[in-house]
Amino acid sequence: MNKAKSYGKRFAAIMVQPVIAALLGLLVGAVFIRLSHENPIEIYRNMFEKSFFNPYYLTQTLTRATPIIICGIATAAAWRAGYINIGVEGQMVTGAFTATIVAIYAPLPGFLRLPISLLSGVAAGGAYATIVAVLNLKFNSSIVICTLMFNYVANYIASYLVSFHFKDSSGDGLSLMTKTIPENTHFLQFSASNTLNLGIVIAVAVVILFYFMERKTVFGYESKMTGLNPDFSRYGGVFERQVMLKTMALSGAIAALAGMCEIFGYKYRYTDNMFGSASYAWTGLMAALIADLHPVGILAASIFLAGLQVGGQAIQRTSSIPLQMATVIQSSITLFVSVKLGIKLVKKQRKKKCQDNGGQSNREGGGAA
Amino acid sequence: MRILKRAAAIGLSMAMAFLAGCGASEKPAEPKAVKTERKKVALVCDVAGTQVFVLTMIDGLKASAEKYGFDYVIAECADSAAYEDNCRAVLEEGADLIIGGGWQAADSISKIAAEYPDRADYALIDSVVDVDNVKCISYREQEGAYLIGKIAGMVTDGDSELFGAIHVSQSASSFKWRWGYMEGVKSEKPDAKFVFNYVGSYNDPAKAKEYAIQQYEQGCQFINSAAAGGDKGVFEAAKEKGFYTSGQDIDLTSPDNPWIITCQIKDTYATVEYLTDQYFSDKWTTENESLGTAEGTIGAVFVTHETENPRSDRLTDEDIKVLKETVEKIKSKEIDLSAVPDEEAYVQ
Amino acid sequence: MFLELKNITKAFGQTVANDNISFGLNKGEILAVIGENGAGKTTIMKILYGLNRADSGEIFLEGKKITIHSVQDAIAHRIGMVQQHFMLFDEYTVAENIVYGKEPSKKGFFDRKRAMTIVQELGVRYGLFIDPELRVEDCSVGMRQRIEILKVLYQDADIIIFDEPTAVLVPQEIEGLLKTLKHLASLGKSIIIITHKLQEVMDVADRAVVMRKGKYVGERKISETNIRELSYLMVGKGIPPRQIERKEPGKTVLEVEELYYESDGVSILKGLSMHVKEGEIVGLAGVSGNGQTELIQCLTGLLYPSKGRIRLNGADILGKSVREIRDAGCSHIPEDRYAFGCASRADLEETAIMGYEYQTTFSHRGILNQKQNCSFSMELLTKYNVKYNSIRDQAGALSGGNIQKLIVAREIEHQSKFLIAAEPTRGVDIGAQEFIHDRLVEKRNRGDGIFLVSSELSEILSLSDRVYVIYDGRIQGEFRREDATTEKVGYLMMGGHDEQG
Repeated sequence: MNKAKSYGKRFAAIMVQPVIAALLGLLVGAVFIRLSHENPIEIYRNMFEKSFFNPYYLTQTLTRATPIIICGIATAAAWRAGYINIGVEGQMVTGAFTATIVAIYAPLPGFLRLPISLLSGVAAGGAYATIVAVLNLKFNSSIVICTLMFNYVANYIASYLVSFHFKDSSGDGLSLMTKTIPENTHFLQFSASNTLNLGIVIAVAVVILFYFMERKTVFGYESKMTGLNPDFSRYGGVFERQVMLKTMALSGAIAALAGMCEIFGYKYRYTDNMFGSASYAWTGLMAALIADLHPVGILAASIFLAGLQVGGQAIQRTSSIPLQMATVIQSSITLFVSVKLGIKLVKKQRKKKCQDNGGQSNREGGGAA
Repeated sequence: MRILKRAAAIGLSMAMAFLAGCGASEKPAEPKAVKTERKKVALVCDVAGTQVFVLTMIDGLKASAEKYGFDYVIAECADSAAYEDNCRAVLEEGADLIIGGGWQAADSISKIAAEYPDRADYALIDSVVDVDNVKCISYREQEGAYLIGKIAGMVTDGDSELFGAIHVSQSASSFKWRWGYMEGVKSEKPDAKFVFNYVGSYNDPAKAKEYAIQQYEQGCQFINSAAAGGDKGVFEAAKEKGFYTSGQDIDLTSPDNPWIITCQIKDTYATVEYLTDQYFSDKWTTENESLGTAEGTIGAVFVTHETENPRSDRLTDEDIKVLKETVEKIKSKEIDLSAVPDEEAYVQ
Repeated sequence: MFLELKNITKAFGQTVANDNISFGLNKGEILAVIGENGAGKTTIMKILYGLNRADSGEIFLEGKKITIHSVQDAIAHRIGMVQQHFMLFDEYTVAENIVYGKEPSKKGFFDRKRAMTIVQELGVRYGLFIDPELRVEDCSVGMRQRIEILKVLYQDADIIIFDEPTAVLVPQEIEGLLKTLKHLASLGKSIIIITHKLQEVMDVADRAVVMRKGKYVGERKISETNIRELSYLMVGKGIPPRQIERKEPGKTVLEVEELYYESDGVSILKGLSMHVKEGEIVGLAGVSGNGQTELIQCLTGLLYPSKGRIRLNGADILGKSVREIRDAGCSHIPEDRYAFGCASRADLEETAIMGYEYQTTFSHRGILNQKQNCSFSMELLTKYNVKYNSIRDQAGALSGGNIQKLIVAREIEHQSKFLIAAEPTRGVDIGAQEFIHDRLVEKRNRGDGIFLVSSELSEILSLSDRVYVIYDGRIQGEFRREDATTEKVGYLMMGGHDEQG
């Protein structure tokens, strides 16, 4: 069968629009660059060289993309089932912070230290997200609001703990951060000359596993149907509550993984507000939306967005364009890429309207029983 | 799909036309002359914005670059992850000296320095880390704060014994500011009492103003502002309510606001100059240094640093004379401010 | 003629909903447009009200040709419509709802007082009294209908179209509505009422236009006709009555005893008892809204009954989950295929395996057996003549009839002992209807029990071995096939009692 082919086609169809949008965004960015009296071609050449086309910067982009990809998948995992989890950041903080503390303080033999830390992190992130699901089931509280608020709760609890109980007191102690995790828990680094590490492999693995889960498992099927039409899946005998609990737990666990990749692969310690400041979760959310929750699309979009950030840093460093302008350029490209969302939504609504009319009239036009 | 394709075609051709136009209108960029002997100094810092602490560092670096003929890179970091990214990137781009401008860069600088000790030299301003090859510059802000305290004691009425101050946070590292201030005031008014409030962020003038007004209502005649971006709020309150105040980092006195009596100087411009002077005169060591009045980086306006702005009548020539003597005493350690006590112990 | 429709034709895809329809309306007249569901009545009225656009044809008002492309056009020509589903804002007051779209204002602000007096004046003029300060959410269905009528009157409509106005009302309310209609006509309003309830037509209308399968069949003055003639015109010779071989039913598959269901303190099912045996089709007739939906949902586990007993194949299934009930041998064609039967963005394979996905042939240890699922879905699609392009088509892209066939295929092919078929042919074309009916009869002939719920009495009567009539949450009566006639069943549907029938 030409399933693969049609699949490729679908992927291409999904990606066409972001690519065009990116080009239009570049065009608008060019206007801003001109306003800063620089040559857009020169700036863009520099920007893309120092994010994608030069091997060193590509590794930097991929390092930055790692948590974004995983956050994107975490978002998609919940959203595809209809649960609007915007608390990926909180779950990420909870999981990663727990894992970091376990890695530093737990009395564990060397070879068990890394796996146990990671497992406890995954469990913590999953559990943290599950609380929201439970609240929804018990008190019918809104998942959107709860997950959003739980971001603050997690961030501030971690902030409190890192300010007092787990603070690294070396140096003058100005930075609120934990000690570094032991060396035997660091992720494998591929080369001493750059920061690329096992994290990116984990991210790709998460994409592949998620893809598999989404398409090939009963859980993937049931959660997708719940997302598309909860009444349909209820009617078909799907246990909605179970799907919800499992989905949120999965989403939170993946989110935790994102934070752990950043810490165990790159930063080696938890610093106060490190995830909030870098807004990995929100960039991941954006990637998920741009890619319409398609895992491979999320991978591509995340790398693209990470590249824009790395490239934005580069143009600030190497040209007279101020950081604010570099951010404007980044944002206008991102904006254009996400505009398609709006268009799509409008289209969908129109289509739905047509269907409603058509459906009703059909009913009428169909003939008597 | 057809519409999409058409849109793509239009978009592309517009992009081409635009970019081509730019290319044509401008001469092709000349390849930058690569002189291998030219050194490169990178400053990795917070987003400059309106933060004088960062802005003066940048100005200092630019001036030094002119002086010694080196290339400079300024990497402003929009988020916490960007510090390490930028540190690594400037290293990749061949920086010979990487200066971390501010405590936020401490972790990244120490990490890179430990990882690549041979590829560059490293310095860190306003923070100390335990890595041998990072030259850490810390400040003895207490010395400036002492002067401010003394001035506060001088300009207030004889029976006024309550003194205020607005800080960013109650961190241990900022205690040296409070301690210096309190010691300074007490040198004039031994029975003085103090109120401190903490704004909680580096840029919250509104909250700083609220606190200042509260302190004024409690009876403070002098309120020292050490609230970074919040200073503006304190100054506003001073003008409205009529109490004396002081700012920090650079000279913020102004003919428009006579209530700003003085400012505590923390001269990051001079610091960057000091670092580059060392670096380009082969006197570079990785010895950590602490800068104070003796090195001319810490001080107070009208005392150690001159200004064109008018001086308040409250601060007499006699006062200035005493203050200048005090500076000498601090330098000679006759007044020893080098050991900052622990906050809890001191309060008791 | 005050209003004339000439040669109106409208097609949806391949279905012709209105085929060259012409008729007229006099001033002050009540005209009934009658026909079975799917005859095209609503379509032509939607064309008149600007909700649909005709493919061809003309409309004349007082001899002048007019074009109606939108509801605004219709209102401008003083045509109003009271739709079957009310379009009201629940949180607003009666007065606010009535003046919505044409609010009285004072200095640019909404003039609440004036709105109140307007509504009161309208009420007095047309004899439709309602408290203008009530919030709509506190109004009964009958009151809401009155609000809709007032809204149309406020917009100065001379021609008022009522779409199945009595379908949602209780008998007393129906009586009130019919009086209102007559009163409005006497005040010079011209009224079109769409219905398939002939008794009401006889009671209230001056003239009746009959439609069948999208065509104009004829018209009669009410004074010169009777129910028999009208119903003959409506149904026509139609399809020859289905021949179903007699079969002795087997043992009981489903047994419901004294079932109660309550929602928000309102009791909906009030001690309902019934049973279905192997090899029989049991129909449930009734005016919609008498508890059918809740009964189905209680039987399938979507709702939890408050009291009673439900036994399926001998096992107690009361309060069990949907999956457990499905596993106990119940499959279910849902009454609303878009709400429950599918997800419009799911593909055909995903639609086809719903309810099977956890079974061993369809998945193993949580991993879907995709080859098998795909070929299974293809088989269903082929066997039930579903027209589709690719198995990856979204369900929403299929026509109503085709998606219904897929749902029916899925549920029948479960090979369960018991099937609930709710509105199995609603809104599908005649070909598909016949096809689906054949499949149901086949299943019955294999010895399975089928519980058929439909708002189409003709469907129930032609298929069922036994007919229950539901009224107000109870079984009002029961007929065997040979005893069940439209009159007798219809009488019970309206709340009449067995002995008198």
